Amino acid sequence: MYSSLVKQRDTVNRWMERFGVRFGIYKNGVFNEQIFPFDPIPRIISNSDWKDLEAGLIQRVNALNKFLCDIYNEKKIVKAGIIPEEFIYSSKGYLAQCEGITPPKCIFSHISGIDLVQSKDGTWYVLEDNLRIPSGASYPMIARDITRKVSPGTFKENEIFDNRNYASLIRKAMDYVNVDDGLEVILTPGRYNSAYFEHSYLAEKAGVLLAYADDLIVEDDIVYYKGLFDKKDRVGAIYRRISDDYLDPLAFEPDSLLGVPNLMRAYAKGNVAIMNALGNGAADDKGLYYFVPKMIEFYLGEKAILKNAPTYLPYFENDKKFVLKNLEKLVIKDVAEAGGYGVMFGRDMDAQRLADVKYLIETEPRRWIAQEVIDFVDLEIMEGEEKVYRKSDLRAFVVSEEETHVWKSGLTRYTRNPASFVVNSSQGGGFKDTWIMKK
Amino acid sequence: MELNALKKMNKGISTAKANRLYWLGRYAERVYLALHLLRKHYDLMIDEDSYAYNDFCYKMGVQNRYVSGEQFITSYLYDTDNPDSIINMLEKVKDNAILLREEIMSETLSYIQMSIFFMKAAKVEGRILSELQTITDFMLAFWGSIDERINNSEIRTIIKFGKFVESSDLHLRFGYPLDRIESINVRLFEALDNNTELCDEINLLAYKNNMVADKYNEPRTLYYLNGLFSA
Repeated sequence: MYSSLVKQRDTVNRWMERFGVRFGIYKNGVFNEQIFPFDPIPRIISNSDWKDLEAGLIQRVNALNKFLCDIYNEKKIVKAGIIPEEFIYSSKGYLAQCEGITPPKCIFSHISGIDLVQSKDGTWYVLEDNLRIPSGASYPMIARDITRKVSPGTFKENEIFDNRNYASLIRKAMDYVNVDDGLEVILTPGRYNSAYFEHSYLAEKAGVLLAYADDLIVEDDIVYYKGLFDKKDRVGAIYRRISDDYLDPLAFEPDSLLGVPNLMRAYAKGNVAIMNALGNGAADDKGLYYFVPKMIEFYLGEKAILKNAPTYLPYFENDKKFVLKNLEKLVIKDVAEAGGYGVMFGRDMDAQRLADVKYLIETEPRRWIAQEVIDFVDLEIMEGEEKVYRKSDLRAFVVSEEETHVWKSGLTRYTRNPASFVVNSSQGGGFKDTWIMKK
Repeated sequence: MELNALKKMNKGISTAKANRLYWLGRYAERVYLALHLLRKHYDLMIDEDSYAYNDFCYKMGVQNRYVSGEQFITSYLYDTDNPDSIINMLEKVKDNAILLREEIMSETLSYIQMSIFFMKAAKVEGRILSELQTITDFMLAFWGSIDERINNSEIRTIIKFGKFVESSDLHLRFGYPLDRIESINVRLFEALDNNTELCDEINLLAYKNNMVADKYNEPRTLYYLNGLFSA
């Protein structure tokens, strides 16, 4: 069903080069742009599998949005004793400056990237909820555009949902939360950000402006885009691709040159929508992930459709004992890290490293989670002329506006290293298109 | 046209973006014309004046760092360590274009990417100048794509502003006759289409006043021309 794509993969790669499909990476302090390796064999998800996934993802993101709204306002989940207060408010992603702020239309996570893996028995497990600045959707989007050009027959023969509507979904979300019909901008840290291709490509496809920090100014708590000859146009929605810490030097990291002074004030007054909202890191924390099924029950009165990977929180004494005893069998993650950083497999550690990690867990139990290693499914990839099997995950993108939608595709990342489970592009992984079948 | 696209028609051009657009136009035109002028001088180098590259460097206003015609051609085309080379001009076009993808569209940017890939391959394969017609073709396609794909007239205007300033500049430097310069000026002023806000009025007036037979080739004409853009 995809043999033509395999045959024509060089043509696909030439098109990728033509369009400058790249991602940036810093190695030893030097910025390099490189091709994100594309594998022509798609991940195929059947329609029935997708329906379950879609329902589970919508449920999960709806609960996470309610959780964020709650912890910055009423704190019902704390009062009900579902999650320890200290656990939430000691999260690195929690921002005290956001207390009492409700973003436009009460949406915190407009674009959520939920990382999943499928075990060999077919069960999908959620590994992470990325609610800050999940990236990567542009790659399967442009890959689809190219593969449809190169091999139209493939898409005629197979009934696959079109995935080229991602930018429209983003626009719809921006339109929905836009304050006073202002301009809509994607705020980028600039060309030397690893995801700059995505920022500019999404701006092009969504038909919104790509703005840099210097392009925006806040006056009287209103955000303006600075045009030529002192012209100023009000900004109503900002899809920011800059992390909270750097977004406003007057509210957060004072040395940030990437941010816009007083943006936080404009946001707090409800004069601009910021996508994703500030402070989302509290729910993106890998420790809070443990509680998502409980959040679903608490806010929605439903049982979680999607499973979490079996997770232990050293914060709880019993879990800590278990983790310390079984470290060799577990994967340890730093709750505040992303991009494959801060992930350690017990089985790969020597005695000294195990002792060091045990010490870290004992001294900073809130900082770590431990998960059982899921023997997730290997996907076929082309290595030269040979088909080999590699570990892969799926990042599903969920867009929240008036309703919550799951983009009918996703970023399937795979490891190129046969011994590795880490699929992140920053760690040398590649990507595949994700086909959601109509039938 | 969608709502936000309409909003963008007359909004959303910051000073930094205007500068990028202007220099995108200038560098793209420089690549196109440098190849054209190089072909003319290379033709002389075949059997008339093997040192015609000296004249080329002088008129182009670049340092003559070359010891032979052959070395000149190779270095001027392909040498990434030569700040004046065509490959580096293309990199400058790309540096601006990549920051303007959302305005010029990926398809337009792709002609610059393809030019760079072609140049890199041409260097390895030792291609001769005539084979670089492909780059000229890509640049013409780039300009076609600018007209075809950019709906925002203000964006197009600024890019064309850069293009025609560069064109006038190089034609003046290479001693083209007044009527030729005037024909480029007509297109420059047409491109501006009353958008004189983008122009420095004093330099514009001085430049126009210098467009007479005994003055147009004075160095100050270039000074006025290069001071026209005022974003």
